[in-house]
Amino acid sequence: MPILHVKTPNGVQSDVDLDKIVMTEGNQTISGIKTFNYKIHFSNFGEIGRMLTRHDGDTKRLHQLYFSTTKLENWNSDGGAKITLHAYDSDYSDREDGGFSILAATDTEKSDLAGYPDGRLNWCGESIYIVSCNTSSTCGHIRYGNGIQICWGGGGLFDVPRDDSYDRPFISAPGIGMNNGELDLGSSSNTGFHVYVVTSGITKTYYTYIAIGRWK
Amino acid sequence: MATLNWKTPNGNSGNVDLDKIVMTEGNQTISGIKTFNNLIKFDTVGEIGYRGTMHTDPTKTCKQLYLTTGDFNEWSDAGAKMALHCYDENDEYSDGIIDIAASDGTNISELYIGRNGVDWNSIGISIDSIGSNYIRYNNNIQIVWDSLGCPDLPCEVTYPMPFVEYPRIGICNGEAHFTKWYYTGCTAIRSRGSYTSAYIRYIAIGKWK
Repeated sequence: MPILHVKTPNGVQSDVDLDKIVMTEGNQTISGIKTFNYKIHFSNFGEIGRMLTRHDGDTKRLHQLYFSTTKLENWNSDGGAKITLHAYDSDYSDREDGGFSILAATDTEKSDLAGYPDGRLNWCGESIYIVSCNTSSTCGHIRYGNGIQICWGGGGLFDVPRDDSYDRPFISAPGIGMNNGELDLGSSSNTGFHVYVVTSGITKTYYTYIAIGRWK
Repeated sequence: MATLNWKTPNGNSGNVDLDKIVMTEGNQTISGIKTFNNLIKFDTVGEIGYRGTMHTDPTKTCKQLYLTTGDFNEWSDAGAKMALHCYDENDEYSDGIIDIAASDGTNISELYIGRNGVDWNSIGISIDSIGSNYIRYNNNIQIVWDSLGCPDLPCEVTYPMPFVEYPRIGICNGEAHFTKWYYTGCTAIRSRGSYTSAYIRYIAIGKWK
């Protein structure tokens, strides 16, 4: 570690660690790792920094590394945008949970996208993700994070009357649309429905259906 | 302008303009462009940096500019990261992805934003396009619908957008149903009775790619 013994023209003397000085004007290149204790602030606009806050009744500490158009401590009143990466620390040494938030705001309105390790993805607090989908089979489904489920099926030549079942169960009997006027819907449950024949003499026929309801 | 003539213990010497140096601890203002070759660390929380990694395609490398709560080289830790990917083919940037992830140390959920849509945990969640009587999602599903009025039967029906396989259909009127299916449309025929026309509204779901 080279030490510089400093004596300025006005008589001030001190020692300077050369590893800890940088030029303040002009273009510079830092070839090693540079550690910032707090933040990088861009004059007049935005900053990258870290915050440590208490959480859950002081039992956890929340680490936040953020990228923001304004000072994070003023965020509640400013419009702009920020990205925050979270990490919770329960005993100040082990990080046990992480998440991210991307926020856009005017002076009065905010909209944010938040993601969590367990698969939640929220837009303004509402789930927007697709929990699961089966798009490849003749009997498929889409489950949305907000509880909506769409199922579809049929498409083959079936013996009728018959019982049909959904690719995934609903929480209660869904609404169904079916494509075959020779048939109609009988009893319906959260897992399937009964198809009966309207036109006499029909024992085999094609049909498809679409069902929409809630899965949670 | 105060000039400092310095000499280190190993014999190196030089001149420093005192008006242009600051200690790296405490607040500083940098008026020029500061270039970092590798990494900026935030004490105890995370880092900003870049790295280059090989891609599954050996002709490409993936350069990543990232912001993370942990050490990116050991990112299986709980926390979060955001990385901007840029694939480099023959030294020309060919593709870019935004990758944002959250982890509890075991489970990782990841959002990818690319030119072809948005994926959450490898499932497409964005809408590719919305038009007259159709929605195409990035998870390959397409929903189309239409109200055909009360056409004479049989009636040729063309879907607002074509599918790549036979779609599943729900129809609101038991007096007619669809048959002679094609990827682009079908034929509505009488289901029962002696009538020659019927009111038809339908919805169809299938794959568009």
